[in-house]
Amino acid sequence: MSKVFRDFWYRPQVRAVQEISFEVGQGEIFGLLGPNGSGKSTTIKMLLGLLVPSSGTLRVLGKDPRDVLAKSRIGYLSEESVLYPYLTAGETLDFYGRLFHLEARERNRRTTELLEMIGLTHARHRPIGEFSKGMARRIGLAQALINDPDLIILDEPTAGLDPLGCRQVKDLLLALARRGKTVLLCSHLLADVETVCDRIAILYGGQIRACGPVNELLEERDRSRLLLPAVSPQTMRDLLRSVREILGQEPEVDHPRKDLERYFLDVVAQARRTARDDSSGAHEGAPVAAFLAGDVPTTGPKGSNDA
Amino acid sequence: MHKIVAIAWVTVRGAIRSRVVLTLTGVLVAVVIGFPLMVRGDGTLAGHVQILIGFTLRAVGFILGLAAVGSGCGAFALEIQNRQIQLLVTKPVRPIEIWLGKALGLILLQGVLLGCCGAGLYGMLRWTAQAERWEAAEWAGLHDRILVSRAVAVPFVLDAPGQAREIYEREVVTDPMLAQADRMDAMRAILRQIEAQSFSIGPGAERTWPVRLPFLSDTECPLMLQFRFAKSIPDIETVSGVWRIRAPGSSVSHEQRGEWRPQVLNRIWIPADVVQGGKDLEISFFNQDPVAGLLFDPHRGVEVQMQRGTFEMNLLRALGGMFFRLILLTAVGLAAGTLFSLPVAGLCSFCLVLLLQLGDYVTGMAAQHRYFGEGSSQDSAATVAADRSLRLMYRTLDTVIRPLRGLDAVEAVASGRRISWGQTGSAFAIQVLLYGGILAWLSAAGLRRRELGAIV
Repeated sequence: MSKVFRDFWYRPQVRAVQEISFEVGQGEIFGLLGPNGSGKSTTIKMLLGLLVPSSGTLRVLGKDPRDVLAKSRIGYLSEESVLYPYLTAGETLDFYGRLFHLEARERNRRTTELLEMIGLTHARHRPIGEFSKGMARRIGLAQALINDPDLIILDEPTAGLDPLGCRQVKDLLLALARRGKTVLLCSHLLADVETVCDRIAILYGGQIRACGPVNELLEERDRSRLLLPAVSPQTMRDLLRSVREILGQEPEVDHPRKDLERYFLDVVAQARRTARDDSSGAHEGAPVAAFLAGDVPTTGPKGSNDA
Repeated sequence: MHKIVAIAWVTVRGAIRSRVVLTLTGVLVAVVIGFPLMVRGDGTLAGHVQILIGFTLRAVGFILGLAAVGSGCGAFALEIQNRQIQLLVTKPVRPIEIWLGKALGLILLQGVLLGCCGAGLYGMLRWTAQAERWEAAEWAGLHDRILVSRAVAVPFVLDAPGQAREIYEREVVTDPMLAQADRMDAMRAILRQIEAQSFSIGPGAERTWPVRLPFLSDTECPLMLQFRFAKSIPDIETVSGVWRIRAPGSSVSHEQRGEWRPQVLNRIWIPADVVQGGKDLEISFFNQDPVAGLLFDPHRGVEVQMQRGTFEMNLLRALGGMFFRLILLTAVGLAAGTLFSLPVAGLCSFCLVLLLQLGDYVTGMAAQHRYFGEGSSQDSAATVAADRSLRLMYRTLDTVIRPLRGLDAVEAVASGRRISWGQTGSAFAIQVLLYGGILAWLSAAGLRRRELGAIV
């Protein structure tokens, strides 16, 4: 499909997306990557029916993206926080739950579990207008999950989140994929995408420049890495000599490093154990909400089976 | 319905939290409570209360009307601008459900505010009209003229369209100008002429009109004849004349002589036994003045009024009429907000409201044939084309606006005239169901076609 934005006189102004084609299977986490203006958000908006392709066709869950039945199985987190600032966190989730025709008791249960999951139970009765960007982002994520969707479309899901929140979102996505949910993720934070996505497509100038499984795309097949426990200098010298004799090349040797995210999480976890947390911001979230983890039977929209 | 109610609830919540409702309530309280304390009127209790009802309801209607249009525009245009609509339309909600939800929320708020204003006005009326504060005659005048609900009947000209047709067909043969004119326009002009002639009375002459009452008359309750006329000679202050009223074929009649003042409302009572419980009356006026000719307005110059229902129910129907107008204005605002950005939507909807107010002007312009040319064969083709285009535009506008120019509910309730359930139902059908429905459909179609994900 392609998307051309036109001006008032219907003259083509911007070719945001040019003849891209891809398919995402059930249970897959698919990442759309690309620099700013590469066409990621435009593609996502077309998938949601917010924009109409200039040419080509697209099917979401086998239907037109503007079909109400298709929409009832989709969860969407937009790039920016576009929630009603005058509603409280609880009211927001309840409102979006109502739009999915969830019964009052079920809405209340899901709201409680989601707020617990995103660490905002204490802010249930605070208006979203008073939230920090990260807190509003968490509520945005929660509203995208209120209907236990089959397809989750996330536009920059970790933007504005602290490392704890980012880790939590990534764990959540992996948990959802294990339950057979499909996730379409759009981000330019490559580390996030790398750790969660099964497949990725890299866009540039509105075109797909690379597409495939992450492992296949990133694997350097002409090089190998051997990880060893710490060894003495003498043993290391012996090993290197042997490798040189066998390969006829000089190997590279260094010490593996923790990534910064893991190091940060360790430090914060240790600090939490010793300090009392009385901040009004987001707390550490609970594990994945029970209804999303599939731990408890859920009551779906009135008059229908669970999505 | 579930989703519509949810969206309505959020709309109400937004209006309350944004303090729009609070500000509006403050202004309305100032109008409803403050104005009665300041108004002086014409010195009579009836005049005072008439002004009180008229001004308060008009002010409330104006303020709530502005709020209806403004909040209607903002409900969509602001949400599209702030992109909140993007999240809403990705949920399983149809465009018409979003529109109806927002409309329902705004209408509920306006209904509550209008209801409170109506209750406040009624309370102030009761407080103002306490019997012990006024002389008995003043108090009785108020309850005879204003705090009543009177059905109105006006005299008519027998077979006026038939007469107009006959005159047209006779004249068109000999008058080339008439032959060139549009037949319907010419007929309308002749009809107006016949009506004007039928309601003018020369010096020393008498004229009789038939009147059909809207309901069977109550044999207990007297009727009121209210009339206003203009005179041909400006110097005289009063005109002597005799009113005779009777049921057709009846020997019982009522006659009242008097010196009547021109350009003001004169009133006489008609005893109930004259009508004899029927619906038909014959009214005649004998102009005893030897020099002055009299002219009554064909539509409002002579009225027979009969008590029907209570003032309270009439006030309720008037508030209903105002409420339906508010619903229409909300729909106008919402439709504009769906299709355009906030400034454009605001401008468009206020232009539409202005056009509604200029209904008489539009009707007048639609009746004209020439706007640029002089109607002669020397007019250029461009002038003729421009005239035709303008006429088409005015006629289209007139066709659209005319159904909305119904009864003036505020004027009616302030002068004790009955607003019928039929008129109330008609206002509902036209303003809410027909025009509101068209605007809802238009907005939903616009919302469906509009690319809401595009950068605004």
